[in-house]
Amino acid sequence: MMRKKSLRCAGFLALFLSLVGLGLAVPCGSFAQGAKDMDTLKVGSTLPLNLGMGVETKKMLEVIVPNFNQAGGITLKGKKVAVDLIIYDDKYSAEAGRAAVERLIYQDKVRHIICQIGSAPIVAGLSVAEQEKVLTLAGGASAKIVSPGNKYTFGTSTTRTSIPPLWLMAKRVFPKATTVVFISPDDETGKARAAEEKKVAEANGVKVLDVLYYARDTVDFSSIAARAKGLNPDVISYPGAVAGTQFGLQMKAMHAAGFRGGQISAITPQMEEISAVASKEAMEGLLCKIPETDIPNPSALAVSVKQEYMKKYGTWSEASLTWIPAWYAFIEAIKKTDSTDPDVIANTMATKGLQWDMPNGKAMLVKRPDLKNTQYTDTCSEQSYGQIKDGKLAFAGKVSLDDVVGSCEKVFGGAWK
Amino acid sequence: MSGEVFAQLFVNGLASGMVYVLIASGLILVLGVARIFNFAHGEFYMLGAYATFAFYQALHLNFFLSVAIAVIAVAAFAGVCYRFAFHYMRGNLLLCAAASMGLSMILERGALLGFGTQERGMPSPFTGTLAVGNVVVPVEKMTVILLCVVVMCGLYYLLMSTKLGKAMRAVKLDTEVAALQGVNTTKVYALAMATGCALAGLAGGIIAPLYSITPGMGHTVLLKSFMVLIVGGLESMVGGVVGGLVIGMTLSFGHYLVGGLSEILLFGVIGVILVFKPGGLFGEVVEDV
Repeated sequence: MMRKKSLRCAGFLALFLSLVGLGLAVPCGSFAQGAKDMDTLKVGSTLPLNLGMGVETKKMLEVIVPNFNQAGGITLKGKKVAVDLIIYDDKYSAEAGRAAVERLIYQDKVRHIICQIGSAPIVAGLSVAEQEKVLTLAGGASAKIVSPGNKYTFGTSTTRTSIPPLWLMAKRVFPKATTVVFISPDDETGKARAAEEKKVAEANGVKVLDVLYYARDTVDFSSIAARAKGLNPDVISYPGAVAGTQFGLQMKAMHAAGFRGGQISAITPQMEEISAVASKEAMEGLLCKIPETDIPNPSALAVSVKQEYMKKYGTWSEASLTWIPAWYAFIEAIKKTDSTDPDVIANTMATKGLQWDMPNGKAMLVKRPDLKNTQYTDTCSEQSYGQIKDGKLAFAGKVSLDDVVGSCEKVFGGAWK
Repeated sequence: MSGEVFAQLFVNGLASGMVYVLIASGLILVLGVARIFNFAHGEFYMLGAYATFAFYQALHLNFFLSVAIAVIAVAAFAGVCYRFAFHYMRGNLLLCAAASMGLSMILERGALLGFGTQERGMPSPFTGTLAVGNVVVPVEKMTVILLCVVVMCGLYYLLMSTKLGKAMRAVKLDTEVAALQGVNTTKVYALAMATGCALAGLAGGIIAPLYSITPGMGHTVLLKSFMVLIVGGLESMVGGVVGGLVIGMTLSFGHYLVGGLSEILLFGVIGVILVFKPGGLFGEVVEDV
């Protein structure tokens, strides 16, 4: 009887351990569809799958990459190569981010990592990636991503360079604004964004009255809103905010506190989530980024990406457009160098730069002399802006790539091209 | 700080404090009567919020009806959890606490799988502001305060004037004597668990239109609820009310005055209270003999 019980327990334990092992062995996403009869190039990514923007980016990559492979993939030295993108969850944390990068490099043997989002996981994995000479094309707002010590890492989203053109646009929309209060998350990304935006605002003649920080998981913004209102600014800006429900709660709280001035955001709000919590009056007049897909006469690439996404999922979400430039930069870099060697790609990108098209417009690598980096390391792209009117996001204007670079040079100094 | 800002902060603190009072009252009921240190209490709050969201947003029911159905559903579910889990560990505080931790994990994971990671929001049925002179306060905050006051009055009536309430108080005082007096203690335990968790679910339903709803929303609120118990006294209802208001006000004014250091301020306030009243404001220090 005892022996039978022991055997049963051992059996259950073995089954449990097998399932755990299977679960650990299978990555969150690995797709090389449409890759028949082609060589495969393994590329890695880590995304915060506990957040909407991470989930949306994964969904978008699950559309773009297989379609790209089906269309023939990369042509490398005359041979067709499909991309096998492996995605792990970095939970938007340093610990999980580093663990995911280590797994990609040491277990999956990837030599390229793209499309990461959060500064904390990116910076945590940087030292490993640089040490192992892995090409990293990452998002994130932290200046550490584009510091001169990094040879293989490039910042390919416009999070660091989108603020000067935003304020160029803000001065057009709110010409009489002279004071601003920032409301920012109390983490690496929020502080980096607030610091940069403060510099930009002051360069544009707008005084920053205060920067109010909140914990990332905050839902009750009443007290922060009361404090912000009490300072009586002309405009409120939200550096580092996430685009969804929490952003809506911030605007709701500001409206409830009695603030009726201008509002600025460098991100594209997720209108469905924000509308669920904030009234039309609370959102009215918000100046923010609008995706290229939603402007009058969008580019052919923007139209095709939107169509492919909607074909697969039935609805459209622009949440991922900020984070997928790395994919397009990666493909362009391989085409330019005709190589997948991280040393060759990194060297070419750093010394000769790169220009590429993406759904959100044209983009290019720029130097960051203000960060003591004289190599091409960061990204600027043309920017489209909208304003929320009567609960809907309407196109307000566009800043060209040259004007974006010019506005960055004006604020931060030096020659960026 | 102007009078207008003070009034706004006071109302905000009162609203969030009353929600903590509701949740903590439920926790006190479950601990005091059923003798369960319920680490899954935050998850019942989360379930209440999701259930209200589902009935209001998906089925387009009236908000109050959605909350009422959500509360009944949470209470029934809590009763089932008691019957199939805690009932067999009755009397063993440690075992019940461990079981409640397991239940907490299951409920959170279940919500994650069922509802996804996306934050949910629902439009507030109480829009607009109330203006009294220069003071402007949101209608929804006033509604939350009013609802919580009504519920607490109802709870007081239940405990003081109904047969069930008397039975609960008797079981809390002395289970054996209550049983000898003919009280069905098993039923009382289950009802205490159901009522306590229903209060948490009700708090979740009330708060759902104000903030976002996520599977992890129970954690923060559970921690605050334990703070309420510590400040007010482990098994004191009056202490729960006072503790909740202290926590709510401290956080509201703290966020305004010191921003991100408000949590540290809160712990400081709790520390000072415990120095002078180690058992909480209305609790007793139990000394081992």
